[in-house]
Amino acid sequence: MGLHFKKLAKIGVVVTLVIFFPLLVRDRFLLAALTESGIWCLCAIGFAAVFRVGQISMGQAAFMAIGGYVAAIMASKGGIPIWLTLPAAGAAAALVACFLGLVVLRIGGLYFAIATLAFGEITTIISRNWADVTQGPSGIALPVPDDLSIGGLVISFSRSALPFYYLSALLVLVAGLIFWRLDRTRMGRITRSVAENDILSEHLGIHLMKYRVIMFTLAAFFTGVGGALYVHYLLWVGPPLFTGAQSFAVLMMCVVGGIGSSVTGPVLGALLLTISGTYMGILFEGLRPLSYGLLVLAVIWLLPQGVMDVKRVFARLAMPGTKGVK
Amino acid sequence: MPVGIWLDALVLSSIYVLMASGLVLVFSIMGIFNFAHGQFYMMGAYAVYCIFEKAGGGFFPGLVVAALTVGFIGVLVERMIYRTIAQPMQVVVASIAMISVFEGIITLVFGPSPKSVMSAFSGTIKAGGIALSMERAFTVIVAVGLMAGLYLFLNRTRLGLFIRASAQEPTAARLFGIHVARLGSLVMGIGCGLAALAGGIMAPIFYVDPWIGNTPLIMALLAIVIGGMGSLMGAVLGGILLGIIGSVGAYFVGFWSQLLAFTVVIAVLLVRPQGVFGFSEK
Repeated sequence: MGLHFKKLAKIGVVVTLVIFFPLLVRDRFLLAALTESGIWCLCAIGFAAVFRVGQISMGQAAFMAIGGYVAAIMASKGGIPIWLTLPAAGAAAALVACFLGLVVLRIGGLYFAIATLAFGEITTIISRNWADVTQGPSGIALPVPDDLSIGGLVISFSRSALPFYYLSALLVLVAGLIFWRLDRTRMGRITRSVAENDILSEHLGIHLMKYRVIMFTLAAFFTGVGGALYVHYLLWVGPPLFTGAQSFAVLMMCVVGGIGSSVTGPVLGALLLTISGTYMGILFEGLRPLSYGLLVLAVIWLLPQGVMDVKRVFARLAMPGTKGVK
Repeated sequence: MPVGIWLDALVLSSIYVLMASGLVLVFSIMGIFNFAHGQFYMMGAYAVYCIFEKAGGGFFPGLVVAALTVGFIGVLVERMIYRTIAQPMQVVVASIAMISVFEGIITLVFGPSPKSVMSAFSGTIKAGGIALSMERAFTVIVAVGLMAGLYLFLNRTRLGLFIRASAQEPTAARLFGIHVARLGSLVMGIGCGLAALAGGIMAPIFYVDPWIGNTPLIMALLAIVIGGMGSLMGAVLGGILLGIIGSVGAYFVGFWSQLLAFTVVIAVLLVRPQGVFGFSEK
């Protein structure tokens, strides 16, 4: 319980920091980068959840695309408010993931990685060519979300960038808490054993497929919500937004952050890569891809276990000769 | 249906086969997919662009230089980056990061605009009332020659035997005194050289820009999956099948033929995860 208390205190500090950060630092670019980071955090947490059952999904952007297009079509055609499109987008992505998972998770391993990669390409091709629904390469423009009023408080998406920041932070918090708690339940232990040794787990009576599909579906839900939020934030959706490059980016974020944890690592990786990517775009312009790639390489080289591992590396530097705290 | 479509299918097949065989060789020795493989294809195309189009050297010297320099870059990447990292998941991510690095460097040097490379062979062959493009026929002949050479190298030479042994049983191969790590570098060099050749012979047919490597990489991955992971023959047959789907399929269903390729792969995975041709060794 003591450990939990410490963890909860840490979460409290982080949440306070997130709430007051935009009031202290009034930097438009940083706020935009943080909002986008939140969206990528959702996807990275989803990827990590799938990795928790020992599978590597290389098509997470496909679920962002499904969520994004569902939200875009709902908002632009039906004028449905954002607080309804987000869960609907998540549900749509989860539904697709559930069916896809039931089919492709049977094979697992490297084949699953390639099958999801192929699925990602399929969604890109469909979004580019199914002009009746997705409007092809020109994409769909979205209206600015209507003002919400809760009690006397009016939340205006048109007047300030803050609502999107808080919305993405809130969603990351919800997703993070769910997956963090899940990791400490019976299901979390089961998923870890499935990742560690699926054959042994199966022989111990664990229904592999059940847990794989549950995690894949749950991950897709939050990834879909992330995609929808991204689309609402950019006010546009189109084929280049969610391609294989974005699926790869999610994978890079998780490994750069630290794949050993279910929430902290992916969140750190998404924050680091999105924020540095934004500033690289501003500072170096054309050199952004190069510097982005070099940053990822440098992190993997220096911290193979991800940014999360930085504490251990510092401990080793401070006390040479010891292995550092584990 | 025009016969030219089948020639186009063979041209596409040649790219996919050259890419897939390099990728599967590297995979069979090192156990990871080099996701930057498409960028070696792209750099091969740029090497031919530099030597053939810019410097005015011949097309064949351009191809040779492309294969050697890009193969050497491949060896360097394997030695200095992949081997120092050595954890599978991290190596995969490093190879994905290399995509941005290579594309970034090439964009920096050559700029983002597409380049065209002049045709090395003009004219057509007339056979039985059918006109076929010389250039495309030549592409297919080079690809077939290269694959035959690779096959002979792997099956008729001592080094080829070492490579096959290391792919099957790395530990046993090491016990018999084979330097598996050094073979890994060699195979990476061969694989990247083949990718560069694929890019080089395609440069006059298509255009050259820093992002041309992505589609061949994905198609090569799919070809490997269709053929059965770790099998060279499977990768070759998978590549041929994908080329036919890409060209003949496009003739009948247009853009949706791309969808067909991916759907075929997912279907293959479900029905026969070991690959449709069943040459799987692992």
